[in-house]
Amino acid sequence: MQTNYEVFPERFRGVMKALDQLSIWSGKTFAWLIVPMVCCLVYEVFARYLFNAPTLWAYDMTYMLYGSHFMLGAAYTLAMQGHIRTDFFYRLWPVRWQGTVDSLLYVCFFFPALALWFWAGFDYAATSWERGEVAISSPWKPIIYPFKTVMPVTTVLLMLQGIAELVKSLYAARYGVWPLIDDNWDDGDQV
Amino acid sequence: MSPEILGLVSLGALFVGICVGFPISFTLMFLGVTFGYIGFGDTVFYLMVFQTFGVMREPLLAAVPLFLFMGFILEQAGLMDRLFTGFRMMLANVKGALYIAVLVTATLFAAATGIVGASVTILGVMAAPIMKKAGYDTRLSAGSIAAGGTLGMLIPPSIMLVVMGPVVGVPITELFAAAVIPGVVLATLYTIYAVTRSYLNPALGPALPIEERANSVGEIVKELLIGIVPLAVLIMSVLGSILAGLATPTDAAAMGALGAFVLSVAYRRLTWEGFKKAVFQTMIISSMILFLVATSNFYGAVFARLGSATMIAEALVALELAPLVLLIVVLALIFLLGWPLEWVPIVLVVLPILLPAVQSVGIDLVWFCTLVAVCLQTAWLSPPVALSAYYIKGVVPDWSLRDIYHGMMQFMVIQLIGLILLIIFPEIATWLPNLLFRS
Amino acid sequence: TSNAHAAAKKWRIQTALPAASMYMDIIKSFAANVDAMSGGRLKTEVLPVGAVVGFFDVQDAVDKGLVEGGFTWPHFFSGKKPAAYLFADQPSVGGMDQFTFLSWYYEGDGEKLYADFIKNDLKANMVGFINLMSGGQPLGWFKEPIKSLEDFRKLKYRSPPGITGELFNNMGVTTVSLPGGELVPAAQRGVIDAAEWINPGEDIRLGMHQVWKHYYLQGMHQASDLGTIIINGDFWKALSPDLQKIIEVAAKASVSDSIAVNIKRNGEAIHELKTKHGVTIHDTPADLYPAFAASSAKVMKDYSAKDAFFKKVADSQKAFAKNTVPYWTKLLGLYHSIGQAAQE
Ligand code: NA
Ligand code: NA
Repeated sequence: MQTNYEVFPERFRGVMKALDQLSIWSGKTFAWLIVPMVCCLVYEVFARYLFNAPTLWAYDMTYMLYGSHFMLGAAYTLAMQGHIRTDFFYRLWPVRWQGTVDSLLYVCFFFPALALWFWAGFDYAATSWERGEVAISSPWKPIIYPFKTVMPVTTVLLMLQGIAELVKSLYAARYGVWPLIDDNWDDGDQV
Repeated sequence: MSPEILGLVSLGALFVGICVGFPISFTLMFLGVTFGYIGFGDTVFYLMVFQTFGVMREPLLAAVPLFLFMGFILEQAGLMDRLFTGFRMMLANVKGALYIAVLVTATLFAAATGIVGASVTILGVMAAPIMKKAGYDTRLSAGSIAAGGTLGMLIPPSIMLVVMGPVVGVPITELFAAAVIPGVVLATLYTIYAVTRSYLNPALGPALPIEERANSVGEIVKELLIGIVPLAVLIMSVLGSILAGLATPTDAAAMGALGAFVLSVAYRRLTWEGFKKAVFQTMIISSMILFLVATSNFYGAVFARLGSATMIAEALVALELAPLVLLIVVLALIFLLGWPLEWVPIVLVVLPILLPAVQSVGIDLVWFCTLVAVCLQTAWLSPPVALSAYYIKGVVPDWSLRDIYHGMMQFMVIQLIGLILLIIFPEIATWLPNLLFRS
Repeated sequence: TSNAHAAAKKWRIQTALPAASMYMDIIKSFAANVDAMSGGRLKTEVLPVGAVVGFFDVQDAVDKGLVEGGFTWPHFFSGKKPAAYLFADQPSVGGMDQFTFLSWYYEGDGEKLYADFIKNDLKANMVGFINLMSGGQPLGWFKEPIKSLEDFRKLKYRSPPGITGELFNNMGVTTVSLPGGELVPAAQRGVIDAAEWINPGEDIRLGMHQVWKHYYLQGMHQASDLGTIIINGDFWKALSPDLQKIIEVAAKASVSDSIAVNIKRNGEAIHELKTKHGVTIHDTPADLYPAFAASSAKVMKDYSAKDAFFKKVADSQKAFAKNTVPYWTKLLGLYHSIGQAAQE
């Protein structure tokens, strides 16, 4: 799914594009973490079985890459309308209703919960930075505070994309059309 | 209001929230925060942080993006089309040939990936035009594509089983082993059904016209060696290494992704554009699933903390149902919920609530998980809320939804037969894991 | 008593223990003691690992008030501040064993330093009391006997993570970190050749003897291994002084439970392993001891240079060991000789 920016008044277009683009850019960038994730594990398998010398770092690298990958992709997935909905009833409603309900839920559900999550996640990460915390899941003992920072960063990215989604929902509520263009491959609901 | 009741109210709110159609993960996040705050104060915010970080740090779940990546690379490289073409050529002079080709391809595809939508879509794109041209029955064609496509969530590697393992507390490898035979049994039942009907009434699935057949035996052998064997070897070695205990699912998934990449490059089928799409599609789907895993874990922790899960389980136990009756009640509930809901919230939210009751009567958990998996797979074939139908309609617009539904219902009946067989003969599920892991 | 019940203050102890662990019994008896001594004013619930959080998060969960209490080993939070390590697995500082360590904790500066550590180094909103001994942990399980450090270095060995793992790495041993449940499957698929877990009583539950038959009881890496009860600061402050004292003394009583449990259940487990499962008990090769001492001296030096609080605790332990270890090791020699003579 892509946003049809043409429908918005000109002074909003820039902001809407910027919000969408930030999510898309960050999501497409962090999507590449899958490649080092594969490399780490493959290297570890070869090191373990062929060279009889397992690495110290593969275990920690794997979960750090994997955890950052899906979290930092959450805003991109939102921009692509990829977070799964049960559209049993939803798809039957007129678009105006869909837009109205979504707008209300963004304001009442989405932003308050994410703001609180950001606050607690920020505190969690900040404490880790202060202590210079390291992971003790292996003798490698890598620093863990950057990884813990992924959580508050994710919530910020989600809130920024949430603003864009709220505007789209308000538009749908007002004009009865979703400002979206279906570009066919990357809609998310294909699990 | 007692905390337990508060939890039940939150469950009601969740059901309404999910039906309203707001993204499920955000609904869970909000309800967890709200009801948790009312129930036990501001520590709920830290609970959200710890639960999420727990999911972020779970290397088992790293298998999810890796298996998705493997599947999307194979899809982007068009290796599945090639598989289908190969089988079609080989089977051309058999009645119902295309049904067999669809179902065998679907089974192999299921063993290569954990994604349902992808295989239904690809099979629809590849097989439907040929089936139409060859005069195949619309309903039976749509049904076999839909049913074959849903095997992906049962036959390992299945993303659903990767997610279910830690929820139930059973090793993923045992779940994989348990799902193999039921998957093959179902695929066989589908095939028997389609072929038998084609033999009884050749109009439903005639043999293919001459121009669709291979010109010589040599051509068939060549296609077999080049088009089918390498991919089958890759798929079998990924699965085999997990089942033989040589690799963890996460290790095997990474090796499988590498193998898919190497194979696609060797066939010169993988473009840079295709590779990028595979990377981005992996991101969207794995983020959707795993973010939902994180928020469901959080909601589940709030629900457990309020004591409602224990209450429901105790109420179920207090009914003092015979184990088999309890099992059927639980499965029926999951099947019914599978109608409006996706497997993700059912596995992550509903299953943990019912689990203690199942455990209390000593039902084998590996068998139970397999039954749940078949149940949820059936839900994909149960109209009117059956995503498979929309995928097929999306790629084959001139098949009517009515015919698609009709075809799917036929296979849903076969699913139910499979499910009953699995209840009567638990060995179908438990034999292989017992042999591999419990001897 | 109905009044007392109405006033009962509920609190939960999230442990880092699986429900089936033998140390679970000790924490449950701690809870029962607290409840009984408080005359029903406290009602203690003990939770297994994972009930609210996983084992690496027990300290965080107590700090943030997610649970009121926790049981864990201080080395599980040594990633936050390395000095935590010295309150659990001090790597033979000055040659202290578990009992000398306990003497340092109660008679030396230990208790004071532990409180100081939590408040000023870790800066956590909690209090903590040492309450359990789970050392000396075996070197572990081997496929084939090892004769020397050289043999040991050829193997892939599951060691505890963190600083303990570093001690082995410094000795040139290749280590792998795995959770307990994965040890046997990992051995079966050749990920590891040898492994340590906890001690005979716990190891036998994991079925380590099904894949390995050679067991080395003398390990140095966790010659002492002390567990701790931790309590959220806000919850603690709201308790009356007598309830605080009850918890503190119950923790101290828990230590003697752990001595009793360790000797009986580990001893019985060893007997069963030898007679029923054909396990051979070996002496640890002599050249491991100096290598280990050198490795731990290096680690102690490195961390002391990097971290002032670590140095403060290590120095206190070293000073304490100077006079106590010579006396105590003589006594241990006595017990060894008496035991040997009597059994022969
Ligand atoms: Na699959
Ligand atoms: Na240990």
